[in-house]
Amino acid sequence: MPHIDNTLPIPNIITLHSLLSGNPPLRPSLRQLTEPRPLEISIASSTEYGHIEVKLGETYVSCKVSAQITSPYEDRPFEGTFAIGTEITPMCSPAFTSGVNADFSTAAPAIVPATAISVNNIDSNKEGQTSATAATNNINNNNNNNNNDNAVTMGGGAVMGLAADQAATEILLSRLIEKAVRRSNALDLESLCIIAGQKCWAVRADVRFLNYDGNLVDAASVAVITALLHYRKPDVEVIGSGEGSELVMYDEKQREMVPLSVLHIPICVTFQFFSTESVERNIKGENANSLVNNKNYIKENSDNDDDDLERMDIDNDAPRGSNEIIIVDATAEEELLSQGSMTVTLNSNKELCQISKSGGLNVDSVRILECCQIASDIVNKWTKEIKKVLAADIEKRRDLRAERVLSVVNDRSTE
Amino acid sequence: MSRFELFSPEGLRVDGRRYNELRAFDCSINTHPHSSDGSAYISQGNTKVLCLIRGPSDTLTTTSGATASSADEPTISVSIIQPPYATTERKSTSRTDRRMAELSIIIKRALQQCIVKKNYSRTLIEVSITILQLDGSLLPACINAATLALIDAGISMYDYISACNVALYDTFPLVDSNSLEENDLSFLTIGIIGNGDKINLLLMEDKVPLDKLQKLIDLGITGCHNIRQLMDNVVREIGIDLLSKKL
Repeated sequence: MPHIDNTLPIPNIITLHSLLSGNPPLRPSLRQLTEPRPLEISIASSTEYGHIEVKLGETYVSCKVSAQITSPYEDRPFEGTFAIGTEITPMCSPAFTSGVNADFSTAAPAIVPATAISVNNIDSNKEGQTSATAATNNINNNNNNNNNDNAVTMGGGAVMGLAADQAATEILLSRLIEKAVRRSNALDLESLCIIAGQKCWAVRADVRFLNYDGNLVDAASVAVITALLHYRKPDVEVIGSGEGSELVMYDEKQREMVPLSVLHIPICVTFQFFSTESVERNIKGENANSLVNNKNYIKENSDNDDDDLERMDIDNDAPRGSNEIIIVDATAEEELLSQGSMTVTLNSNKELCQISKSGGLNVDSVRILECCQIASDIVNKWTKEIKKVLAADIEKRRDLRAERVLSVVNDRSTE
Repeated sequence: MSRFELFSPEGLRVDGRRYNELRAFDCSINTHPHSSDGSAYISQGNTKVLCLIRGPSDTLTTTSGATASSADEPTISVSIIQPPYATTERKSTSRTDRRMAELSIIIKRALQQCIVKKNYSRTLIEVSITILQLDGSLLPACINAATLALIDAGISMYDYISACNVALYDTFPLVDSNSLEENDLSFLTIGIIGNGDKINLLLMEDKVPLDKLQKLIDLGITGCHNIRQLMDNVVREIGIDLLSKKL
């Protein structure tokens, strides 16, 4: 079955279209074009660590971080492993079908309670090493789904959206999150090493999309990074050395859990591009402009290129410049109409971790730089939000009695 | 840390280029006239890519029935093959490699934008790319090769889509990076349709300070225009050649 998104009634599309093509363009929600929906981060469990739920408007994403002990990759003996599982299921929207990307459907087992395990006896747990690169996705799957997010051109065409190209969406989404969090070294993998070459932590973030209303990427990136920041792994200790060494894991009651070493907080911000002009105009208008600037070029080509006159005409009647409408944090409706998207990942140090704009509407380089600035502001705002939620949670979880017992009279941290 | 000096104080790179110099660019089209409708071979320095195009042909009725979606535009399928001998380490990449899958989606989306879609409703255009040798700038080479092959196949396009990589060394952007540079530096892939300033493709996987982005994009656009010019020269030469033969 084609995954036609029938969740969106046609009149809405027309309304949306007319709103966005107005002057000035408006969004149905009357949000500013560069204003994201309110971000709501909640900690799902009051006892567990690393289970975060993020709401971005109606988009609802949950992320659970878990860790277990495995043996490291042979070529990286000093590093732990980190995998992110993102799977889009019909749970979030009927537009998606399940089973396209079944690789991450099995969740990692929870952490075993404190036990003493002999180092030499632990088999390498291959399951924990499931790399995010080992995907079951077949490229051929995508061949049939030729539509992408620019499939719906404004003012007509088939009603197909981002959701229609699920396999491609899933691959891009998982790669985006992976590039944003894993490749940018947000999680310090070396700190996950327990015994070089033998034992390390395998951290895994499983993302579940609970409701789809556009912009899964941003919500997922916030969820993953917040969950990583929130997660506490049990303390481990290596007793003895060589043959008889033992690995002891302490549970929460025995020793305080250890937070993961998160080096920076990368956050994705996705922009959607719209244009009231046709694709042709978008490319040719730009072309005409450059041809006008370069008169010689026109003369050289005018005899073998019939389009030139047409291009000139277009240039005369169309105001050149940035005709693209750029919106931030699109809803499902807006995403459906979008002609192109770009995801920018930044951290609060104004470091770009990742940019990804694959095809879609051509956008002026100046506008792209503007987008990055906008993204930077949003990232700052969201980073503060994340930190606020985490700080509030730490405060909530403080066990005052235990603290009193453990604290010393001249504790340096007390002020 | 690298043993190589990637960018010397004199302004020379590992292979002796200046910051804005492309590697030796060579391309030829119609390399496989019998096995494809359009073909192109491209070499950018030591990166050599072959692209074959079949189509536009009838869309096969697929079991999934997804052809319904292609009523007003062509179905483009992109497959990338990287044989083990492409890189120095003989590592075979599986067909289901997620990175390759991503790459093919990116190429597909980039091409989709520059093909005149309305001319090819209900057709299938198959793009298969073989990476013969890999020395950095993989995605740009694939896209450039695909452009040339599409031209060879006679598929109508709005304009060339050209792409190039720009690496960032400290504060210096370096155009058309090779694998030595890409291993150590962060780089950005940029793709442009035609001769304008509008960006079709922008991809970056490593960390770059926000204020350096402008420099990278500017140099990238220049690089793309240069590559477009180089490709255009070859295509025109061949076109003139073909015309003279016909007459």
